[in-house]
Amino acid sequence: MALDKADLEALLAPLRQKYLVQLKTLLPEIEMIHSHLMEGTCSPKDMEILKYTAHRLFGSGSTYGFVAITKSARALEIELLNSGEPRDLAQLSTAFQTFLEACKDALNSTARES
Amino acid sequence: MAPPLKKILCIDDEDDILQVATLALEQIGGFEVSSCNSGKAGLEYVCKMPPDLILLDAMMPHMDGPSTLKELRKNPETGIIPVIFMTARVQPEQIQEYIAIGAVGVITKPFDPMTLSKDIALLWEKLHGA
Repeated sequence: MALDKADLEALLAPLRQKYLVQLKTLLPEIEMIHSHLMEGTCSPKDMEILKYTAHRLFGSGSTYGFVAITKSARALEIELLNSGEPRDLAQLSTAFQTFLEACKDALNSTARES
Repeated sequence: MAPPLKKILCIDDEDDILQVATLALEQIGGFEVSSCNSGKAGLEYVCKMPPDLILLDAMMPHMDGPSTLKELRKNPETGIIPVIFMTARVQPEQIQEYIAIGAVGVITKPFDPMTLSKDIALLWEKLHGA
């Protein structure tokens, strides 16, 4: 079956919507971890959740057309993997903030479309 | 000439990835696609309905891709099924590691749904020396 990009986009639309619903559900938890990070109360469990989330969204963002999510999630993942103890909080926070904005932009863009 | 590639089994713990891969492989590649959301479920499925090829996520909870591949290789009937890893671990040494343990190729995440079928077909042809 020969499908062009527009056909595929149409088929992907419901899955993309589902992806965004999941992202919307995930966002409060990520924002809470960001608050913990800023307050200096980030637990090892928070960091594990953040690493897993960044890795997962890096691996799926572009597939659904959200290139900024993939790029910022990768940058955050690298920051999380590279930063030793004590962490460079300023750098980590910047990467985290960019990632959060990319997630929010994706959600807002869809809100504008619908 | 490479034998025809018809049946593909996708194993990934992320449902959204399974769904988009299935859609792309069926609609663009014209393959028959089955999916499982864990290594354990994949191993059970493969014994009942052996596919021509397995697309296997490298990083999964409980039983990851390399462990699943190891289990597949223990059984002579499933051990010969070619496995392609899907991974967001993009360092060249990590990719080489997967090839070294027996994967016939690696698809990096995030993948492009438009080109996924073509990438897999190329690896299939390469495997069969076509």
